[in-house]
Amino acid sequence: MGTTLGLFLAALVLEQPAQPADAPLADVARRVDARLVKLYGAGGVKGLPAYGTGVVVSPTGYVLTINNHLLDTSSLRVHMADGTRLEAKLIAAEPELDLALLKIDDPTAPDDLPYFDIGLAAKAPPPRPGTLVLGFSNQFQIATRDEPLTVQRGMVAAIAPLAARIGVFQVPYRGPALVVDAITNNPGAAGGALTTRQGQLLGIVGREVSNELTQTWINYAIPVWASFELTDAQGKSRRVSLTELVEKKEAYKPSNPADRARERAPSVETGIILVPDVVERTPAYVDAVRPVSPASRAGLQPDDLILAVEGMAVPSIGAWREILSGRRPDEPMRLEIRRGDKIEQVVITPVKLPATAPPKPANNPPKPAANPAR
Amino acid sequence: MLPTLIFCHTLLSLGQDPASLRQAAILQAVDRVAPGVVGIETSGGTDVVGQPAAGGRPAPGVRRGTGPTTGLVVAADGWIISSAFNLANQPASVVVTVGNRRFLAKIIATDSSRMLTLLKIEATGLKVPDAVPRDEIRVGMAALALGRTLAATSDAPPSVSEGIVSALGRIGGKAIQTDAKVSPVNYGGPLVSLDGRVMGVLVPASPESEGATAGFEWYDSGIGFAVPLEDLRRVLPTLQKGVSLARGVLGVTLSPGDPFRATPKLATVRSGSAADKGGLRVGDIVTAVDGKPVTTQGQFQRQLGPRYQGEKIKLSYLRDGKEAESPLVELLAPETGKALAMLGITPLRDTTGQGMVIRSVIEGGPAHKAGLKAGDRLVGLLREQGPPIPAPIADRAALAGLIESADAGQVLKLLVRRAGTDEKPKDEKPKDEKPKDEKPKDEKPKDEKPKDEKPKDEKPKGPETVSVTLVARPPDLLAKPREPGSAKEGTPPPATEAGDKDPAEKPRGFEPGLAQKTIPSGDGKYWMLVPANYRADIAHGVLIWLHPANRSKEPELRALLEAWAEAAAARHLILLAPVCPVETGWTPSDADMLREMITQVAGSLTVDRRRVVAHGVDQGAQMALHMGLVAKDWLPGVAVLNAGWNGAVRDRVAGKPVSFFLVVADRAPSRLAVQDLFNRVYQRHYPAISRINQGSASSYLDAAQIAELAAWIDSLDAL
Repeated sequence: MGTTLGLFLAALVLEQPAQPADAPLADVARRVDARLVKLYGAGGVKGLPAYGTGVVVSPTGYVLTINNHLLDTSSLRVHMADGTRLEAKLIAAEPELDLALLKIDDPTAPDDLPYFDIGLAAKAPPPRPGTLVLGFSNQFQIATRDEPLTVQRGMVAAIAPLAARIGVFQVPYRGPALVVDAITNNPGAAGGALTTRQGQLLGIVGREVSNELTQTWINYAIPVWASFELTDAQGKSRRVSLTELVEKKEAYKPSNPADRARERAPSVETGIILVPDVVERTPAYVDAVRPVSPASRAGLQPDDLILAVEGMAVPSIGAWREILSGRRPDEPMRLEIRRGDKIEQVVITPVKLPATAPPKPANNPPKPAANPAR
Repeated sequence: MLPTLIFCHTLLSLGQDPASLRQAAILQAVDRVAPGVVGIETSGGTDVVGQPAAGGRPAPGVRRGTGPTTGLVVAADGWIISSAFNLANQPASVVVTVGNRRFLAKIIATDSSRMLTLLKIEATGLKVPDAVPRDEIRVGMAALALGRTLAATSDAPPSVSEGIVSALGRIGGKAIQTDAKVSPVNYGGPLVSLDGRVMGVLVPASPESEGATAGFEWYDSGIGFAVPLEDLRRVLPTLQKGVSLARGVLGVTLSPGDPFRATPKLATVRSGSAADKGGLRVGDIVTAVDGKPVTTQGQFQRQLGPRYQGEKIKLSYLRDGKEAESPLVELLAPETGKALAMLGITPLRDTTGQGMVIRSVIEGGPAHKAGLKAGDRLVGLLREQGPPIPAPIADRAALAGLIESADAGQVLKLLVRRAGTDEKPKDEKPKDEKPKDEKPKDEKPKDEKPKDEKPKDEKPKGPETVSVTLVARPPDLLAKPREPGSAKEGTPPPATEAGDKDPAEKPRGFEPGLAQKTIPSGDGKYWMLVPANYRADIAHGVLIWLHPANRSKEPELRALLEAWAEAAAARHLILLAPVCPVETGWTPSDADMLREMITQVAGSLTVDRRRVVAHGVDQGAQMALHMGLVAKDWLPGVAVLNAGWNGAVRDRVAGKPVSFFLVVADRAPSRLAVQDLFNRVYQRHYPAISRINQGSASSYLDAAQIAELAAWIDSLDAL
């Protein structure tokens, strides 16, 4: 009896219009939902979902999503917020940002779609750890056609580069990512929106990945202000932003993983010979120092333990190599080393790896930044 | 209290919407605590903590990440507390980062009761966050979990996750539970209230098991734990002296029962333990701990759970219906240095009636020296202290408990009915005999005392008193070779039980020979070989073959079981070969399936649970070791080939004996690891035997070795 009455009361409450206190969030969800699409493409094999999410970034139907396996098809389809089903095509895939730009490709598509202005969003003050956020995506394909997407609440847990700081090496995007404390990155969530509590776009929800720092799954989004460094044939470099990608609608980098791995191979020489890298966590102990080398000039000695480079911890020889692969010749680096029971600081200026030098025998090549899904 | 008031005031005066107020409060709270949240960077150490990865699969162990972890400043002059998880892989070098400064750190002490580690760095003027007094912590309060792993640089704000306090007094009264995301990302960091004070230190924890990594599997699930900072501050001075802390042990086990209903009635009291010194005895019912009433086993354990070694407690208890109180007694550390005691007999496993009949006497052992003989029935024990009231020995399990809680060197005055005088089967047996379709009859307590409680004096010959001085159990006890031709149980048994069950009785649902079975819950399959000479009146040992990863095909399992067939018949062993549900190998959760399998087999066949052995190589060996060293709940024997153990070897648990039989090939790469494991189990006084197998790591046991292993299984229940 009590239960029945309770259910009855609960039903009454549910029948009521939304409480005023909830109204802003409900409005926010409606507003964001109208700017997202459900995406359908390749997949369905090897447990990869054939569905995903996209963010509309222009009134004419450009859509931003993660550059993943879903796009390996000639028949991409989107479901708009009102339930309309439309064809879409791939315009540009940018591996450095791990993002792809699609265009809704349908004569019946309207050209006044509600959209997120990426340029504007990128200029807003960035969040910080502790900023309350909302995640929107079609994870697990719970919504179809005009059903609203899943909304999650959480906060920005951290803002840090995925690879170096978070230990995610299988994602090509190397810039700072928005790490979220909610479980936002589920199957089908890639390409969803991470917004502020007021519905301003903060980032594009990323892939499902685990990290090597903690051996746990990590939830992240690529921030709207993301950018990467582009070096042209003359060796001049400049930064390309996500906004530029959306405006110019073209990719800047080859998406061939082999090319990209070569680009990332270490190109500097320090003269430090480390102990043999026998186990995964071999500490970066100096075994020997090549005479007349950056290391000898910096005063490094055998048995020094390299603790950190430019403030970033070096937990293993593998991590040391990863860091070296991102350094340029003649750029000084500040090392913190353990010598006996003291921490000392030394500055070492690596030189260009001589073209004739054989590859270091004990060193494995750095992990290629391959995209396993492709 | 003051900060809270000011904070509330700010809230009200701003008059903004609740979401932005909350946002502001969160950021303020993070900023307030952040200086006291430091990073911990380690170099080297093992890849896997807790338990090892096996066969390339991160099975029961936890792969330790390479990232920085988190610590919390607890005193301004360089004292940092962290989760023991973060240092469990024994790193070669530990550095603490405070802002952008690095300090070499020393590991000072570990609190293994709450899985915390104290570090010291040479620094002064560190910021110590305020603590929330324990009684201010309420379920439902907002809670932030802070960590250093993900922070972009060591001077960036810590990472943060938001939730609420979900429960208090978890993990035996030791932890606060929260639904904020707790994981290696923030283990060792603080759980912070919305006003920027610290409630506790985040740790992985599990109500089921202890250890630095227990509970890791719940990371980010909404089930997270923190050790209250106030509890930690209480023991900080001890830890700062370099004294590691352990759980305080009372030294009792409780009579089996529903922990939420059954009264805490003592089943064993270990000699020399706190309980023993407090005058507690088997059969006492504890009614209060330090004046706090306890009515159930659960309440009793929650009172004891948070106590440390060295703490003094007072117990109130009921004995023979009368209230009594112990003096203050000091809790001891978990048992480490105590060798198992031995009486030097093997028990007749099918004894009926009260007491336990000796099947054989170990040559030169204490029983042998005291003149005990095969066929003698041990019926009681005279207490050393107090009035000489004989305590009855109900059965084999009772005697086992008694020996296990005794010390080597201790003198037991046993009441013995000699082999010849035990002849009153006509009298006793019909009363005791159970219906034929009962459970295996050597299973556990027969509560009904023989009805002949009537004066023993009436008998022409009462039980004799025999004094036996226990010795330390040699680790490598092996049963004697079987005498050929003896039909059952080796040595001449007294006539008590022959024929009380039809020897020809067929096992129900199980035929001798090889068959494939499915456990009742339907998920697990296993192969079973019942020896051709199976008889329901003989208690059988069980050998569980845990196949290596990807080696679950029928021909391979069949070949292995058949190699054992002869030894199984000679030693009365039932062979089981469960099939791992996933090809890639065993995981700790498969222990449930194995337990269900044993229960099913024991339901139909006469199984002696004191002689169940898990046996394997490679990944199967890791699973066997996991069950013996970590799960420790029902498995009395582990026999593995070429297997080492990266995880901790923890103390023996009273009442749950585990013995080890370690074989290593002389050319196996794991030879040192096996030697190390043997040393460690030996140090912890687990009975253990090691054997060297001529040849390479890929060769299995030959027939003679199988026979020896079978003999070892036969000796597992020696007392």
